[in-house]
Amino acid sequence: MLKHLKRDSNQWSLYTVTISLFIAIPLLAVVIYLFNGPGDMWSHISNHFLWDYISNSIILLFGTGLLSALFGVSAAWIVSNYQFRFRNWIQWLLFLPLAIPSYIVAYAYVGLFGNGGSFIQILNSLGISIQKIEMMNHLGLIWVLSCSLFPYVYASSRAVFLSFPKSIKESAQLLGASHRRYFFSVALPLASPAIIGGLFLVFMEVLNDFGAAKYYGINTFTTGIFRTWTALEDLQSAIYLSALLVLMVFGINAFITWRRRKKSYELKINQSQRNNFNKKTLKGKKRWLYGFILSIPVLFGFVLPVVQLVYWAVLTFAEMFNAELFWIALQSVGVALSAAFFIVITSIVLIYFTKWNHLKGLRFFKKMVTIGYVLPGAIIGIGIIRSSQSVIDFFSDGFGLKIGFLFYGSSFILVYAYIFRFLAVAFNPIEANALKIGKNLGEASQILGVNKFKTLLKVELPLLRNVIISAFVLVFIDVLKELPLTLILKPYNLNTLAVSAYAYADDERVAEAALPALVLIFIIALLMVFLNYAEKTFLKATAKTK
Amino acid sequence: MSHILDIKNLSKSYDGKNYALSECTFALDTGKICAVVGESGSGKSTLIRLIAGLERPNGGSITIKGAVMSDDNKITAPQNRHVGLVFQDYALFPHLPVAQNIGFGIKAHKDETLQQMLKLIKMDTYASAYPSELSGGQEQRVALARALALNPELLLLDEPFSNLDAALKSDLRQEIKQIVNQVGTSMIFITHDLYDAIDIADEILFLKKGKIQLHCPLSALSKSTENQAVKSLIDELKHNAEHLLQLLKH
Repeated sequence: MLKHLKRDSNQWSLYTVTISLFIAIPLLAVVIYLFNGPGDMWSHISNHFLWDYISNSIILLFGTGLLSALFGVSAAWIVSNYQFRFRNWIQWLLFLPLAIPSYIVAYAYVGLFGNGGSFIQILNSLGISIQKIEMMNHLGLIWVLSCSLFPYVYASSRAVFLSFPKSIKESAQLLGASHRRYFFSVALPLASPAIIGGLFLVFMEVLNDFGAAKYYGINTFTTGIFRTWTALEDLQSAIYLSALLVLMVFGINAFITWRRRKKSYELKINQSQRNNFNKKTLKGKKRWLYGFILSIPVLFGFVLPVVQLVYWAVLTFAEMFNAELFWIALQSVGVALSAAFFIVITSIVLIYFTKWNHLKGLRFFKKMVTIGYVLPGAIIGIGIIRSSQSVIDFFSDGFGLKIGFLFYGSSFILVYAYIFRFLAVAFNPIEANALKIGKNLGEASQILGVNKFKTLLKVELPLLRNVIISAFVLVFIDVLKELPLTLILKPYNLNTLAVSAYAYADDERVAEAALPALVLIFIIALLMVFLNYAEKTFLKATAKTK
Repeated sequence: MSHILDIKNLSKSYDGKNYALSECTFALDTGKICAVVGESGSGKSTLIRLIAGLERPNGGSITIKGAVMSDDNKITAPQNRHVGLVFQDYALFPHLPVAQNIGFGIKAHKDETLQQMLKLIKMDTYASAYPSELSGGQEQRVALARALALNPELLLLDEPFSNLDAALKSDLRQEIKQIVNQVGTSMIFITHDLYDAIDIADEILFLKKGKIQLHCPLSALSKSTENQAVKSLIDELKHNAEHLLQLLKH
């Protein structure tokens, strides 16, 4: 490789390295500043809080993983194998909990099950005497997070269950396997890599959660990082906590990669055979039982929280429905739009710059920049604060220039942080589709004398249009929901719907949090409906003409 | 006669250990058609991808019409090599109609050249059709026209007949030969079928496990069967073809 280093390196190699390093600064900062040693409060934290952070995070990961797998896999199995009334509606409704950020579900649950809560009142009116159902503990938080995150497992298992070829099920039937045995001995093992993939996303969301854990008073790594930085004012110890959390994330990642590799099965699927087996029609008791199983996650993950929020919104409507709410919504959409735009552009640029250079070693940088998605927002926030402080100090000490306003007075730093945090959301699907297009088209264009940029614009981007639109919408939704990173890095004059809902709830004015939360849910649900409609109509139609 | 292509000690390894192509040396005279024959994995595609500049060699040099295109110190971009390449899957741009596919790389006298090419491949009435609306043979003719439209010094074809049925294959072989002779370019094409080679090539190059076993004019092939390696390769290719025929019969 060294022999041809000069010949094989080009301007794209340089751009790839430069852009990747720039994007990965937050992670590099956490690693570099670790060498400065722990802060003053570290011994206090490690003596009194650290065990809490570790044990609580593990309990939440384990409990939420188990419950999400139960909700997600059972729902996916039923909708992909059985025919019943409203099946099409229900399989779509099961995605909707993703539209509600878990911290908002957590607030709604207190209104439902707390002292004199709506659900408690209904139970009382039915003659069941109960004062409250305690939610603000580990089990409550596990329930809340599972109800709100299970769609990750549902989506991945449903996709794999639907992709099973007819022949697999038929051979199991011919060999005398019952439906139950087919599920446990064939379907579940075959789907396990996908289920584990979905669970990985659930784990990352649990570690990233700040709003729900803080509201329920449970100390996790993420809440600990915030407390250490804001209440204890010890940024260096917050970096130490972040590094421990990074280790935990990498540990989970390594474990999951190992499990998936061990259980990676390749299903040779003939497209004409894909999921064309007849779905069994549900009858009798089974219909009620399976209906009940499906209704639990939809009811607790979407319907009940939304009903509670609507109730609160009605109560506070006169006070909360004002120009400020519109302005906050506009700012949210504006920040999410610009972040989604830059993230999609950065993804395309990095995918193609990496492709255009001939140094194989540079693939490492591609992995480095997409790692942000598995890092909790708090770590990225702390990394950015620490590194930007160094830049500000450098300019102030060296040149007497005050440039702090550039970092903290504008949304620049926030959008930059979103790029590192959510790059993988756009990068991975766009890259997968670029690979699917293959290299022949690009090479054909290049041999015909068209340069790389024109080839990208005239050949590759038009063919990637569909995935670019989907990636843009997905990033937009993720940015709109994001809380911890936004809380740390937003300029003082910027307010988003997520931050506004959090601020009211944190101030014990949870009813006032309902209207901004509902607007946020409405925008996300609308985008999910749009994406679903687009994929079935015009995006599908474009794919067909190709 | 001058050489259009001169290859010296060309080697390529994708993993740094196993060589897809090893120390290959040969030259092609201007205006000749050369068939590269070999089993799957013998390095045929690697050879033409290296000539086109789509892969970077680990060693050796490639010279096209007297100009060094690649060696240890330099590498000329594919678009500056004056070669045309027809891919095995044709690589037609699925979102562009036939006319735009053919005209994609044309810079000067676009309309005129485009009309010439459409006439050459007898597809004047298909200018606005999309690749998905064409048959395999038509797609191949469009891919050929697209490569020829830039007037390349050397035309490379990667398994041009592998996706076609027997009847169409025979017609297209003659058609391609006629078109190539008409435009007066040199050509290298890959095939694993000896009949393709015998039908249209002027010379033949046998590759096995990344090494050249024989490179000779077609007329000298009968004498070369005394070469044990070539004889066994031909027997192997024949055997495979017969085996395939038998399988089809059953």
